[in-house]
Amino acid sequence: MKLTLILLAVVAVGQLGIPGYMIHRQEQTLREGRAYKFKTAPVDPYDAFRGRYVALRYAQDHAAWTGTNVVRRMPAFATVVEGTDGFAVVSELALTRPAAGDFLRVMVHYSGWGTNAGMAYFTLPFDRYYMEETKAPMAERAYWDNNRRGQTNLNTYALVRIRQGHGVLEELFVDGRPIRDVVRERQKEP
Amino acid sequence: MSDQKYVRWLNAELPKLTGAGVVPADVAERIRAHYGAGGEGGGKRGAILVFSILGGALIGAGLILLLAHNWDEFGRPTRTVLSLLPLLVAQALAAFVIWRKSESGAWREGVGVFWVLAIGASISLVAQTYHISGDLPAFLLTWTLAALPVVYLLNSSTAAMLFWVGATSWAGSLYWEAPGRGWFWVVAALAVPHLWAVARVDRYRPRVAWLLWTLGVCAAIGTGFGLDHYRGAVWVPVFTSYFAALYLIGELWWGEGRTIWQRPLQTIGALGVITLAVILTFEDYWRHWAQRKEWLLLMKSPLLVMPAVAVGLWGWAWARRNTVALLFGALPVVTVAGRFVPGGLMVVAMNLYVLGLGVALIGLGVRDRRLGVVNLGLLVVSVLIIARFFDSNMSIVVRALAFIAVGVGFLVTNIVLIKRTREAQ
Repeated sequence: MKLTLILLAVVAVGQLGIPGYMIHRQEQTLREGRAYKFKTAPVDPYDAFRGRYVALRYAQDHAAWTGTNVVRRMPAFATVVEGTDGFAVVSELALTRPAAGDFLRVMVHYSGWGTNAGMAYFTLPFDRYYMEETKAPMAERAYWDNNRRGQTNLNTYALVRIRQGHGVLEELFVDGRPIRDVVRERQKEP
Repeated sequence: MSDQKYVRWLNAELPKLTGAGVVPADVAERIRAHYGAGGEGGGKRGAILVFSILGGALIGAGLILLLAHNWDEFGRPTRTVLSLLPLLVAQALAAFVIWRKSESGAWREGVGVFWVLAIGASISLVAQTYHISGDLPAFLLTWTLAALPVVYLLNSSTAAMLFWVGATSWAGSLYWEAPGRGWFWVVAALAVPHLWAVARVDRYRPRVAWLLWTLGVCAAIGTGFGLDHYRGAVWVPVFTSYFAALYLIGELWWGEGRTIWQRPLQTIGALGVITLAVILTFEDYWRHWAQRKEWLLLMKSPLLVMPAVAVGLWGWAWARRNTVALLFGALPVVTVAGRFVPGGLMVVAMNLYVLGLGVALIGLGVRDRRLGVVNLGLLVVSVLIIARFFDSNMSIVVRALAFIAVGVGFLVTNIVLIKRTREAQ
């Protein structure tokens, strides 16, 4: 029994290590990572109701591709720089880790054609913003209201911290304000 | 350690012995007390066990939902601590069970289920707090592997069943991304020592049957996910071997099981063999698929182990003169032989094989007066006839007569058998 309890202690530490490591990695990136604003994309307002999170899409979905053939769901490295407008830009996608600068691990799906030849389409690893179940639908509506097709102004973006290829979604901004504040205001409205 | 199978037998014999005056009643009672009730099936204990497993599952699921509400007003540090809570509670309960209640199946299984669910809950709660979209295969594999120690520390068969379901889900989540990976078998094998340890005490206890049913079904699905869907024809030798081997392993180690429930491997294996054999009586497969070069890929793949095992076990069935096992085990041999035989001939061979299987089952059932086996044989023959009606050019009159003949066969055999059984009694 004593041996079993010792083994249990070892296993317990190991199991706690999984969420523990996840927490550590996220916190470290939030603390030390550089902040980038990723501009969100117009969404289809008829997208399925998600309930507990806001489904995010980003304005930039393709970038220059330096690898060979593209296979669906191929892991790749995206070099991230800050554009002149203050929003993040993926300047290049590659199969190898960039030597310098900030980068993210992304999934590449297919290569571009026509005017987009030499490009590849990718998805960023943060496409969900989780919220309390009562707030998420309202937040999603606020996000939609500010991401309609044809709207151009909007200062709607995801604030992401990046450190050593690891990105953490810190906050979602709708029209320049954190989505929590927007939701809180909307909840007060009759 | 007493062998539960003999204890059950002894318990069944004791009333006869006291009735015949061979053993005095008080001695019989002392013998019974010495060996225990035998089996784990004792109604009350069984019910407690089932309810404790259900309880563990429900509390675990409820806790997950409660925390999934995402109490975002608590702020990140509090929620981070809350995320670890289910896991900490489960571990503390496990320590208590090992310390105090290691003899109680209800405690071990109930806490085992809760613990396995708590691992998944903690990981997904952290993912929710930090908006990690996540990679489903990685999440499932992490969860499944982290749950493995639960099986052994608590000696929990329910945890082992969940482990196999987890491994199968992981293989499924990988299917569209990286097909053709054989790692499912490596992961699934990690819980097999538990099955061995449980079966060593008594192969026919209910726990073993539960484990075998789960493993037999999960491994069939996992094998399917492990096959590369671009290499069409490989599934035939692999699946025929899998189901045939399952049947033969069942006969080899669990041959004395009486009910369908106690013969999980034979049941799954037989159903698989019959289904595949009927599918392979259609011309399409042999005309379009069997001659493809993809078969050669099998020669380089670790999956070759499966046909090898099936053929090896078939040899054992020969040695034992076990006719039904020989017939069920013959399917992979027949299909592999089909690689070297013209397609048209194979269609005839497969039809004869299924017919032979059906007739043999009917014959065996009649001989042993087992109505279920007879009806299974008749079912096989009927399915074969119905299948032929889809692709043959037989006239409607011939089809009608064939149906009537099989129908009459069904009725007559059943009536005769029921009569004989009554007479024998």
